[in-house]
Amino acid sequence: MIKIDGVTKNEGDFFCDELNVDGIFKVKGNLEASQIKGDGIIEVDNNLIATDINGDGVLNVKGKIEVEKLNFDGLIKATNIKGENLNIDGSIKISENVNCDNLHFDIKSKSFITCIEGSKVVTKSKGKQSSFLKVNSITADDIDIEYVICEAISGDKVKIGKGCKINHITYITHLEVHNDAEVKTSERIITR
Amino acid sequence: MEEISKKDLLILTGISYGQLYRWKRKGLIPEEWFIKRASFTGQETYFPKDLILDRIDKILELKDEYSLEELSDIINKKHLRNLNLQELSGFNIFLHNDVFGLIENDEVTFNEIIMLKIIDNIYDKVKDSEEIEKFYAFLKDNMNDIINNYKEIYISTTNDNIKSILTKDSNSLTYNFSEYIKINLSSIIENIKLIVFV
Repeated sequence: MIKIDGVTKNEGDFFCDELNVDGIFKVKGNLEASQIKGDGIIEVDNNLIATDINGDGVLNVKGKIEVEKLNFDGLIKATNIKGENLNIDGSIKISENVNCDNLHFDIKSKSFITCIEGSKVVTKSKGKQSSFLKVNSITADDIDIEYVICEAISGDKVKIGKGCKINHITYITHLEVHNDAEVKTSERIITR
Repeated sequence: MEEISKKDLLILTGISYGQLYRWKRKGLIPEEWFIKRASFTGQETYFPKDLILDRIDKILELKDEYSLEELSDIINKKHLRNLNLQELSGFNIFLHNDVFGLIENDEVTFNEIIMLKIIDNIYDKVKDSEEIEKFYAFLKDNMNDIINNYKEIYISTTNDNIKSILTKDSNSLTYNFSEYIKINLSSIIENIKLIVFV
């Protein structure tokens, strides 16, 4: 296991099995590890590839994040996230796509994602003024969201919770809209 | 090329949104097949119809026998073994059996199979066998470049002759070409891997 305390900068790519960061770790290339525990700031100039990421603080990746399991409290910035189970509490700024099996996002401050694609997408928010997620499209089998502003939603079972503003919804089996949500149009499709 | 919307794709195939995007995530469906377009409802995703329907059929056929990781390894692996002629003819890859006449050795490399498939695609348009042989020699000389650098190529023909081979980014001006044949290389490569190496 590699342990980073304080402020450390790595020129070029960094590979290891287990990485434990307590402080600030800047990688001027790709960061690849099986397990990452982070408490503080991790900055990566290229891509971050890991099996497990656990931590809190800031994850600032200029390229994409590929991970199987991610549990993170704080701010995540990247161009894309590809993963299986993502559990995020805080704020996300993703310039392109999040593609994952499960996304559970507790929105704590203003967040942006271009597209979310996956099997299950859940967002929760206490509804404070800036605790919302803005996203162009969400496509998933199960969608259960709060405080999301979105152009197009496509899902099988869709639950639109409080604080959402949605332009168009395409759903297959179920649609539920909270009284305190706005949905402009919706359509049901029948698959075989 | 005819396109199909995400909505119609689900209606037609019965797959779920989760499956579609899991297959994208695992590299079984190329990202460039997901074409985003503005629509009256905000935004819709479209796919090249024949390619995506073919690929989904193939994945549905193989998914109980192989894990998604194994299928992804097959589609994405770079070094592939040679095949002997008997093995190759057993796969029914080519519409025109005459392309076997172009093979000089007892074995063919994977890249040569792709070049033969390109010939197979234009075989109906160019009937002159000498022209075909010359073109196959040209493809073989350039096959590493073609396979590594281009996702699709266009081949133009006039009066049974092959006039030019154009790449997607080509700026060439063209005049009086009776026909262009679009060859989607990345799809041919992935499909042949799925046929031959599964």
